[in-house]
Amino acid sequence: MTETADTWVVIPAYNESAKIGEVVGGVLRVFSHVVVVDDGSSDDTAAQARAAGAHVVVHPINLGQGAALQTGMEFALMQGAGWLVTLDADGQHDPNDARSMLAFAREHDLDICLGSRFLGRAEGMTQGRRALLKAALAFQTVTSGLRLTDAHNGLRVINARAARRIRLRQNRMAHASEIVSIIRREKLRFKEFPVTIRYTEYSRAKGQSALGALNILVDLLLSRLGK
Amino acid sequence: MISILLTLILAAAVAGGVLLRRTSPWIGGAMSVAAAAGIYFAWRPDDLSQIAHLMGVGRGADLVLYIWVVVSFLAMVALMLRLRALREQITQLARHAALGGATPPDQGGDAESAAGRR
Repeated sequence: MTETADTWVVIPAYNESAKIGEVVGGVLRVFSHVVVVDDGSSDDTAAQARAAGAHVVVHPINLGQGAALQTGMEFALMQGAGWLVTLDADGQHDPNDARSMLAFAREHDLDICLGSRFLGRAEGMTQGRRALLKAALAFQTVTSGLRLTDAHNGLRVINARAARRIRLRQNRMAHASEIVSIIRREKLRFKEFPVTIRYTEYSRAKGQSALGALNILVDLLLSRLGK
Repeated sequence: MISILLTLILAAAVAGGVLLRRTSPWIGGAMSVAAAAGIYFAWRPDDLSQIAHLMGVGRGADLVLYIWVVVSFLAMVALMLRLRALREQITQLARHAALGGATPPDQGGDAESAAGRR
């Protein structure tokens, strides 16, 4: 058995038909199993992903990245995954980083390994994006009580045992903070790992805006009110 | 004239509250009581002013406005929580449907096709 044979890569995607084939192809050069969760796209993301070699799960309606991630993780667990990798559909993550993270997580017996662009590199990151991320990081540290170097980085490696304990209720972008809170609550063994994020014009256009950050705040506030 | 109009509207609210009691006893009850009190004060505004004075508010109308603001805020939060619960149900439903309809890769097996690439 190769070191990645029991690993499933989970890619949430929404209207990513321009890039998803290339991303899936890149991942399949490193990993054997990929599931793309098409989050109710209006383009042919699902067909492109399937053609590129991914299993595809399609949400009948757009629910948000957090919901797509949860669906993808559940699918991977149903397939008997021992390890799960999550990464973004816009091509900003390097699958080779994911492989290094997987080896690192196995070696250190981690439940979850989080990619950090601030330990590693972020190519093409604008000053505005850097400021927004730093603000998000400060907020995440306060709300989750966990001190990390990066926030909202979609590149993660999770073992099946930990993935079964993750039940994301944040459908939209606040799931990233939710995962950090779950790590703390469930006392999951975790470490950060330096990764390279490549911002392109495409990923910048698809990325979160300051308005998105406000949405995240509202989502997190509401989750505190009602259980 | 305004008292008659208010009475008609608030009487409808009392009836609505009674009907609502079947599904939401607390909200329905509160709505009926508040509307009934509204009818009373529509005809006896001086009584409302007296209550307002007791509470340190200048006019009865101001008291109504303050209560209205608080009640609206609480109702909005309750609605948002209800929406959230509904969204979670929809999510579970959509997820169930999505997982049931999962499709394999076109080439008939990712592991095999990937092995060829590596």
